[in-house]
Amino acid sequence: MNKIRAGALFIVIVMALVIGILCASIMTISLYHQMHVSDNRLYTKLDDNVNSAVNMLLSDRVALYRDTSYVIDLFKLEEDSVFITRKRWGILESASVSAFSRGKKISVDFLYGYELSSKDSTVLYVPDLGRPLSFSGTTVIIGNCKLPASGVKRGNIEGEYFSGTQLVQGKVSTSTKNLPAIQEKTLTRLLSLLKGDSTSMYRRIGKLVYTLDTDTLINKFSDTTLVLLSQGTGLGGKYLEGNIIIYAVDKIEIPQNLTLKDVLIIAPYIRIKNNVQGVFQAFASDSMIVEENVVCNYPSVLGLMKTDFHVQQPYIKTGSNFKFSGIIFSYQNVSDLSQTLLSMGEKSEISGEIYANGFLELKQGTVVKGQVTCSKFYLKTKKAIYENNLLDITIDKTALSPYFVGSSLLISNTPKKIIKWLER
Amino acid sequence: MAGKITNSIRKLKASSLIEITVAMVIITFIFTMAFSIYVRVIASDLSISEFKMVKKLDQLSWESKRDKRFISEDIIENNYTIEKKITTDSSNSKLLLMELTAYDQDQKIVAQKKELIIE
Amino acid sequence: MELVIAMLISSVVISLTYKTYSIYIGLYGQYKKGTSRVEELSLLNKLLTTDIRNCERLEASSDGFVCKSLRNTVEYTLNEEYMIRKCIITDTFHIRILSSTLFWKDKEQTIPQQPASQIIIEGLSDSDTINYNFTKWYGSDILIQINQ
Repeated sequence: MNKIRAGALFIVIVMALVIGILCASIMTISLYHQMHVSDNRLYTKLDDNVNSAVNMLLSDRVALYRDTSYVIDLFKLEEDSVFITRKRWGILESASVSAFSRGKKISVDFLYGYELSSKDSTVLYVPDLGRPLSFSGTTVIIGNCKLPASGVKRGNIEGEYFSGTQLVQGKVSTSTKNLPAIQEKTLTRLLSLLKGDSTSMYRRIGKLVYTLDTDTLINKFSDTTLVLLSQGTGLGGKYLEGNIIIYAVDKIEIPQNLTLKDVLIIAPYIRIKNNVQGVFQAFASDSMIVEENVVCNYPSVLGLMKTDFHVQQPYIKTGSNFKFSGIIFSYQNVSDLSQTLLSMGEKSEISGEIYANGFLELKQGTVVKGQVTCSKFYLKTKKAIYENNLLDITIDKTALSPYFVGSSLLISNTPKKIIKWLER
Repeated sequence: MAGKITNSIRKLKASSLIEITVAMVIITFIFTMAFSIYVRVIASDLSISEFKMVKKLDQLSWESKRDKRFISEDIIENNYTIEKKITTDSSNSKLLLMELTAYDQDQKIVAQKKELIIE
Repeated sequence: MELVIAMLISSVVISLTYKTYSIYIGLYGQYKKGTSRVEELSLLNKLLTTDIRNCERLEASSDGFVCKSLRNTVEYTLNEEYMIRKCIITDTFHIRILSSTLFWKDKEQTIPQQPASQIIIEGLSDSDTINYNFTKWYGSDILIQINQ
């Protein structure tokens, strides 16, 4: 007996099953589609929130203490949270900003500072200590100057008479007896780190590293600072980038084959060997020697801080063909006749700012694209020593890039700008 | 014994009226359910016109920042109304809050964008 | 008689069932196509946002633009029929490019390997015009480098 099952009911039930499977498929596609699209929309929203948080930080809308992390609800609707940490990095500022929601996160790290005032076109400031300035050779000063009341005159150094038509290509006004104030709070931590053996202090700010096992060390600014205790030498052939401090109790030597990017170097005595190229901030309290052909890209800093009388005359001396973009400064918080000395080698090219609370020597052929502030000029030739004399020097503020952003050390009331986005 | 013929009785099962009626009810029910699921799924998803609105808000924000056009205004685009609201942060005059909201014809929010910008 | 009626009604029911099935499969296909389109456009938006934000420099190229950074380079090739993103793998986005313009300091940038700070892309997906607008936020270190 053969049964052939016919019947509409059977076909309908089979089709109902098929349609049911199609419904389930549509619902599954819809689910994945919604997940996918809402993920992408969330990502765009987090990107907007990160930008908003960066703008909030740059505008000082919320008072944020350094070295403290904050979780902020951007629009007070409990759905746009950002995480912000800021800290001082040398004399610059660093910040880490993250926007997060539903398990997704976007983070950015950056260095920021203060833009140069467009109203202040002062290229040279020398306080009025009763001594005039003298320009010799092919010295060119472009920009407004604030100089001693005794003014500036044409000079002659060892037969090199001033050969230009104008001593200053800009307005000259009289300066006060003091240098423009430096923002000392910018240096507070650096000063304490340079005093004696600060290993215990470094333990509080970061993780100490005694030996470097790898050739490459990259540390993000959102992670804990790594403090590399240098034995003076032994850094050859390495690549160091990011949130790293190289510290030594006595001296540090930077060899040519050490590549540095955005790190800090802190020691009483620092020597930077020939042909080193990198981006770093170096701070010394005794002396710093930069040999020939060294290139320090923006944003680099060389800082000299005299805090006691142990070293009679702390100095920074650079070799010839020194190329630097950033800030060079000297500071002393002790009253002493023996002042700090910043000496730029022959044919050096400095883009940025030089602030010397002491002597500044610009050797023949040096070009400064930016601003110079110093207590006194100093020039030592083979035959004599000259005070407040410039020979074959160019100081031109108009040649400084309009995008240059400085530190709170020298400026603090102009808008904040991003100096550099750091590697994420 | 050879040659015995057996008659195979074939029974052909066909549908009775009751079966067909039940089948019709089932198919109608299935069709209604499937269609309502489809409509719900379509309604809950981001359609291309909503995505276009999202991109339109991005474009308006971009243009406002480029042209420094920080004034509140309403824009009508196809069947959507876009409200642009600029408010100054109370503690900081340099910081502005720009809110862009797109509404459809039923005043339902289709897309929204909020940003803090420095003037 | 009853059999005839039953067979007639049963044929109606069966054809109705088949029609329901074919309508539904058509709707399913349409839905899948529509969602794929929105997903593709939304993914393109996310990738452009990420690539432009993470790169060090945005540069014009002869057939599109390039997002350059030390770690990797992402190239976008724009065509009338599609858009190609080349990174480690190559992705194709089926969006017809009507126009794409790069700007540097509010001036149009057309020279290859020259930097750009803003980009506008106008695309057409089926009959819908979509605009993509992005700004690259540079730090002063890159601006100084470019300015030199």
